[in-house]
Amino acid sequence: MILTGVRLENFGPFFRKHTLSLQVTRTAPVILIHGENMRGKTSLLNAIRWCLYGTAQGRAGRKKDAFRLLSYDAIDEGDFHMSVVLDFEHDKHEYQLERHVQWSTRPNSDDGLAATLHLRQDGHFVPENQISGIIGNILHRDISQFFLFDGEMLDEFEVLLFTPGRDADLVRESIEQILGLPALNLAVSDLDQLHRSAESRQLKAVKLSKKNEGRVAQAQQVQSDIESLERDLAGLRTKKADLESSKSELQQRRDQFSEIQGDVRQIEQLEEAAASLTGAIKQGQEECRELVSEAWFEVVAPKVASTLGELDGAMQRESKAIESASDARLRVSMLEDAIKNEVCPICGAQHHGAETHKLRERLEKILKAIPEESRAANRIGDLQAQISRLRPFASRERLILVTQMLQAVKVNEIALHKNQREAEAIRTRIKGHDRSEIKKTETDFERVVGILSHLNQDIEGRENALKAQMESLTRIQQDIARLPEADQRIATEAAVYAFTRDTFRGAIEDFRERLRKDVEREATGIFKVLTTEKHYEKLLINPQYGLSIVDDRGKSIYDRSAGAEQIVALSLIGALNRCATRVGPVIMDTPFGRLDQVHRENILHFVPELAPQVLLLVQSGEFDRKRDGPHLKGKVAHEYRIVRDGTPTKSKFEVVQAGDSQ
Amino acid sequence: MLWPTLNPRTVAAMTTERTQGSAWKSLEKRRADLMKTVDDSIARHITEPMMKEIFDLEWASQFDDDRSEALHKINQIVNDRIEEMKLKGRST
Repeated sequence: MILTGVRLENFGPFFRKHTLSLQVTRTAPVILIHGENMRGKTSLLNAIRWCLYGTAQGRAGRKKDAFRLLSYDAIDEGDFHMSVVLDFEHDKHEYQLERHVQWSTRPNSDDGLAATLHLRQDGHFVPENQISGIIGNILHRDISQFFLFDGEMLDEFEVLLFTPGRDADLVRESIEQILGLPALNLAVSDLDQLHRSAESRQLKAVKLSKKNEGRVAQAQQVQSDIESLERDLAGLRTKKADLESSKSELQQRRDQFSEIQGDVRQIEQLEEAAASLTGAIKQGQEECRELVSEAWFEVVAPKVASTLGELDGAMQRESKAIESASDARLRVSMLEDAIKNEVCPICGAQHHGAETHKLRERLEKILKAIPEESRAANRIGDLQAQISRLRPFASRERLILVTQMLQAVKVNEIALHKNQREAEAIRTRIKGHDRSEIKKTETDFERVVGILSHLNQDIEGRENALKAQMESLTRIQQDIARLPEADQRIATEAAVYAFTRDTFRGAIEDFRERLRKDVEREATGIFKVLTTEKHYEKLLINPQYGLSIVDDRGKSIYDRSAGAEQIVALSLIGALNRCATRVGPVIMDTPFGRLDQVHRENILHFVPELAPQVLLLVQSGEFDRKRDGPHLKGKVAHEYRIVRDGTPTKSKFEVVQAGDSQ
Repeated sequence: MLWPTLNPRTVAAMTTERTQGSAWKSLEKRRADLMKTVDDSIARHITEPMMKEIFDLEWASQFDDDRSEALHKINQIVNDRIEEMKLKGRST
């Protein structure tokens, strides 16, 4: 496919009609289109994509609704019609593809949109129901990303191939599609269908004989089980693909949130800690209040302790008095006995007269000195009662506890304050982001991953069951083919289909391996021309078509600059185009974004060899006519500039003259 | 320069043919391996030209969403081959 011209009407910033010739020659295959940011370079790429496939892409490759493509100025003028006409050549035929859309009222969605599509082949209209098939055959939508691509996404593309997941699988599938793998896969399914049809005819043939009815019924039952399992598997695989796509979308949303994800997690932890601190403070205060209500009297504890001391002293004195009285009474008893018997109670000697008188005087003296025991006993009782009453009020334990608890509350209050200050700072950082949405994305992602895991187990189980049933059916059908009633011609036909199908099926892995080697070889060839690092020896391909740089010592280079990523990705794109089953124009939007001058020069020298037609959409920051133009000398068929047409919402194309310096 | 003597259109066409050639080589290799497992009465029908015819047809129609035409043509190729062998059998 070679594009020869494009006409845009009310598409993006291109208000009313704009026509651009895209004719290239064998010696000058490049079309150079300059345009500063926001002038409409990506809109031009999207116009071509939209005309071919009916869809346009927004940022990160997302589908863009048609009403968002309509020119603002057209809307303001009440003109709700948009169209793109694409002229191209393919396989010695000339084509003109026209896509028109029209809204009856000012559009704010794609509802109520009337769309028309026309294709002329060598001037003759092609029936509408055949258009999509013809375009698919010339440059299928699934492989278009290797022809119409955004240079800014080049490095993301390479990173994607190294990251296992559904997106990497989709890119791998697309790569294999561009390289012709569907031819083998479709052959397997076509031949399988023909094989089954032959087997059904065989069953009908042998069923004519009544004795074979049991065997036929058995085969039909297994066939029916197989069909049922295949239906189940198709349903489960569709569900899996949907879930993989949801997972991929959720993953993209998670990536968008990744920068604030840490903040969100931290704020959740802080909020949890704040709730716990607030609870502890409240509980501490409550317990303190209760203790204080019981321990208010503990403020007089020192006074009570002193009184208790005094009372204890009095108690001791009274006790001593009682002891002395008891001793005195013993001595009185002994003296009374000595006086009465006139005998010394200790030595047993007789005494009389003056000695007895002396003993009597001593007795009287002792009797006078004996304290009053009953009074002392009463006083002790009083003192004990007083001590018992005062004792509970002498403790300071509660007060000490209250002090400790108030200290703990204070510590928690300081921690809470610090927590709140940190949380406030994070809230300021993540202002404008919906935390509930982030949390929901996370929960949804985990849920989808969980379902996918169960689904994979389910699919594996059914695949095993299907394999067993297939083997069983093959055995039954082999038996049936040997029956005398079997139609030998149908049996041969079925056997040929089965053999051919198995040959195609068995060749797929070998072909994959050859493709990878081809792509690796081509990519290495291109890479060595583009890279400025001469010690880089080759590119090594992985099963996902991701490419690693290997140096002249055979070591893989893991730390690659953004520029190196872009060079590797461009090498892959170039290799895929060289190995592809279809030849088409390569349209590169902002291809030199991250490249230094030498790499840019290398690419400029290489670009004319990339494809039979290359459209470069460049901005002044990456391409300077005076500096870079000479590298494309003689290779540029047309050069245009997209400029503002009066207002910031309108753009137009200008032909760049040979002498223009800008 | 990568291919100094060739222009991009020729290179593209050449590499496209090469990819198709790679696929055919994989198929041929697999056919040779499988032929050892199939009995003679079937093997004599499965010739390399017949496989090539089916392969070329599948390669050309790999972007066709409607498979009915491809199915019809394969059916015809296989039946023609069986007929051919039948006639050959009668004549010998």
